[in-house]
Amino acid sequence: MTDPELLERIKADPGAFSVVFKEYYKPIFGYVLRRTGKVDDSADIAAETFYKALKYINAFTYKGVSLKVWLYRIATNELNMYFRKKRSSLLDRVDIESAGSLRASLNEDRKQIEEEFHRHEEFQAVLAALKTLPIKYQEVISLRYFEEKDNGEICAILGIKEGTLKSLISRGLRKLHEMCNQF
Amino acid sequence: MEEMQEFEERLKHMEKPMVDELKHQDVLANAIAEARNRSLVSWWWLGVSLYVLVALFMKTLFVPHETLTRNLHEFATRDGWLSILVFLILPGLSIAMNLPAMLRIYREAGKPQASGLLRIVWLNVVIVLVSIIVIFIYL
Repeated sequence: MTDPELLERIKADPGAFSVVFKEYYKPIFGYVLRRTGKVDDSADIAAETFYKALKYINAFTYKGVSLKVWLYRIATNELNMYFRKKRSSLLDRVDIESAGSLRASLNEDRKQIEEEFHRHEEFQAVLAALKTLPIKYQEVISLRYFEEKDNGEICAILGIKEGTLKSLISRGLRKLHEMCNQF
Repeated sequence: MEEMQEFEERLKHMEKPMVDELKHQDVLANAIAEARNRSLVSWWWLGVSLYVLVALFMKTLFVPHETLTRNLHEFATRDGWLSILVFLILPGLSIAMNLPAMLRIYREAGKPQASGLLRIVWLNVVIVLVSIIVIFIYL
């Protein structure tokens, strides 16, 4: 099913959003996890991303950007809010029972994800250094080197021009290199 | 320069933690479906102004030889502070609340195109326009 077809289906039946969730939750969660390095926060941010996507699905017009890029845009905004400590948690908006079962299943995932994280010491060191940089550099470096996105996709996700992206990557890399040497 | 290239290559080929199976995914799908948005649309603030304005408008319609301008002037002379609150402060507050809200929604909704954005912020736009009209009528 193509993005426009899927979109039409969701607009007619919001239940069809589960297809988007199944297809994109894992990559979005992975992206957020590789930015924050924290399992619980990542689950919360990824959840909020899909909540916002469902809430604003009528605003998405599929002109120039794919559904995937759109989800990355929302996730990136949620990450910005997270780093600026200006976001609310999805867990605040669900009933106690749902929040409880969500925490329980997240506990099961946490061990496995944390083990995976500990196996990648070099990545952890780079992430720690990256987190000391301004958010604009974190975004581009994470999308380029952690998510392996090309210039076109990064520009679409962040809504910036290619020239701006190149200069951000160049300056960001230099700063990250300096920070990595200090760590 | 060479050092930077080496660093870039290192980043490119560095192994990254990957996410395998996620048990919380299904539970989360249900939680998202039942999550409620608790933010309130700020019609409330404008309600008082509109109520007074409609009352004055009705008076203009049903009382012979009355005009809205004269009724407004009379209201402003009789209840100076109240008229400032109702026709300037409350609509001003509505504008001040709705403009940042629209900007926030634009970011939260993944920077949609104008037509898409309008579909979700139409109520905010209406509130801002009505507020401007209320202020304009008063001034």
